Amino acid sequence: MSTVTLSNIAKAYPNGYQAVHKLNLDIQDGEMVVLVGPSGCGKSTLLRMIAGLEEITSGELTIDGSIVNHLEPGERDIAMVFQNYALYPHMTIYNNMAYGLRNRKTPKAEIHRLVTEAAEMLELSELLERKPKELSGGQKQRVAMGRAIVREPKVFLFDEPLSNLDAKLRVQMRLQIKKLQRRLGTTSIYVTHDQVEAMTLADKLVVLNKGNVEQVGRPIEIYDRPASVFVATFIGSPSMNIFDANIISQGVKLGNLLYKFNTQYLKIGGVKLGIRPEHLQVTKTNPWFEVEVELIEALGADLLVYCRTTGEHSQNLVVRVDGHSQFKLGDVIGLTTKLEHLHLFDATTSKRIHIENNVQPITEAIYA
Amino acid sequence: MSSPVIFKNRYLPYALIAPQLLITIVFFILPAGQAIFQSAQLEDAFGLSREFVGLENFINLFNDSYYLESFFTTLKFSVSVAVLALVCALILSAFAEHIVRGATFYRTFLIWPYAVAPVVAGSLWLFLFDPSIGVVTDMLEWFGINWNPTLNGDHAMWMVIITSTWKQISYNFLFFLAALQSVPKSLHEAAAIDGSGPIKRFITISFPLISPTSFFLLVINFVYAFFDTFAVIHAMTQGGPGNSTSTLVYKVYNDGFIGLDLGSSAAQSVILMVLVALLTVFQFKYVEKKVAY
Repeated sequence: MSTVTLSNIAKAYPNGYQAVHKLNLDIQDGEMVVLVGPSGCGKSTLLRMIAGLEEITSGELTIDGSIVNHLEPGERDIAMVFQNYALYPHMTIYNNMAYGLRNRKTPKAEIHRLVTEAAEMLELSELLERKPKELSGGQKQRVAMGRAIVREPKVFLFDEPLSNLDAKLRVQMRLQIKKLQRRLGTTSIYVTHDQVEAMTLADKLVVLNKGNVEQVGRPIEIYDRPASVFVATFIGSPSMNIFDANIISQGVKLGNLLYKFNTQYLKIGGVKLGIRPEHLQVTKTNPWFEVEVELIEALGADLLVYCRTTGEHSQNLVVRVDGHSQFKLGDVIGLTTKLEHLHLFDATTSKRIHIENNVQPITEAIYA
Repeated sequence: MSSPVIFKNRYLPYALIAPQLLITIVFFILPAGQAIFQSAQLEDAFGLSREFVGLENFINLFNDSYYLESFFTTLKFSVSVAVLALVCALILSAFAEHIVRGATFYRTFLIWPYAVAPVVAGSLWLFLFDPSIGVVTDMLEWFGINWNPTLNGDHAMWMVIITSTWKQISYNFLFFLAALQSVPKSLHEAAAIDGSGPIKRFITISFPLISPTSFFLLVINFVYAFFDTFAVIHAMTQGGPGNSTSTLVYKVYNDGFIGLDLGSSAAQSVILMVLVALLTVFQFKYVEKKVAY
């Protein structure tokens, strides 16, 4: 049960590469925080700094109110689950889980109780006398979790723990991790590049890009109100469509097609306009703009329609529609959307321009 | 899984293994056969006459206190060399892993002794250990040790042990270094998080994981100490003083080519051959199986 605070944490490598820039983050007791970002965004480095496997160049890391910057990994009272499991191959499963407890001079009977309990919780009781190489990927992953659980640490760290598993197992393990974390109530930090894992596991989602925090928030907040173009395109699949558009006094103009709304509080000029594929509706009456179908991907439940706007300066986009919709390549279809589904970003800084609270929407879109 | 290759020409496979076979026959089977033949003969020193004596050469050997003593000398020598060379190399390689600056320099210099010819190594250390001009002798005098390997058998023994060990450390170092580097880094990290310090990690994680390499090196080092140290001993002590550094291999040479007792020398070679065969069997039986995980 504990809190973790990162204040102005930075990591620079001797060759001058700045992996993490001054980063601040508060993690509450019992919270599941997911760090997500593309490879090279510094999420693993950050986790390894919290674990004590990488030195912290500057800033302060506190666990439960005390600074742990200079403590050895073993003294920080944390446990980590590695991507490749990192089970000790020469030890039995029992000894793998007991290793950390023995190092802490836990009494033998206590070790036995803790390991047996964790094994039961993770359905590993039958496997305790086996060696890691005799286990399947999913079982190894459970042992790695067991090794973390038995120590009853203040914080769990997960470093992409599911990326070595096949898709079906990944979903199972994801649910298991979620249940386990709820049940134990241990503060957890989870690193992943998989946005589905990120969305489903997180109490608090932290989107990282190039060593900076792009946005922190509940997953649904981040989905609904992405703070930048980067977050908008990173969270959500397929990615949000981003267009070059213009704000004029009557509304927003895509090419020469106007979507009318009250823009009196917005700056006139070029913006980036974002619309999620699932928020575009196909309409025959009064569409905002027309597109030509270029490619169709059928996912069963949904159909992803890749299209291109007609007219000059045509732009690519994806529309997500019901799986049984009938389209042919080359069809020209009309699209529209609701005002609340428009995301505006600054053309130069790519940061979100907030429109939700300060405009009076004109509910009907007009094809001008 | 590799499937057996089928040759179209039935003579081709024989032609392909012929070179290796020829080498084995010329340099092993023939001399070994000759040794076995010779070991049952008694020949005069001039090679003018010989007679068949059956196992008499062997019986004489096992009644010869010098031969039994040589067995003991060899054992003392081999165990010392193997243990010292393995322990030193293991320690050096454990440190080599953590060196950040000058790692290449450090490794190159550690591997260098392996490239020094045994006779050269022998002469080098002979100078260092020389009773009158040796640097090591001088240093030992500070500790009140009157070092003289030409008179003191124990001193002579230490001298050949140290020289042979020095030459073998490089080889062991290379293997240990490779083995240690193949232990995944994440295991060390996991152990560190599990509250294990660097020394404990080495003992509980690295060491068990490199045990196949250690076992292989143990056998190799014994073979080295048994058979490959002839040149060092020959260059430094010629088996002396007395018979204090006369190992089994050195005695084969000494009895055969200096003493010209060819029958006894041959019998000793045959015994050594059996020993090598046993070591090899041991190696195959255990090393292959002894993979701990």
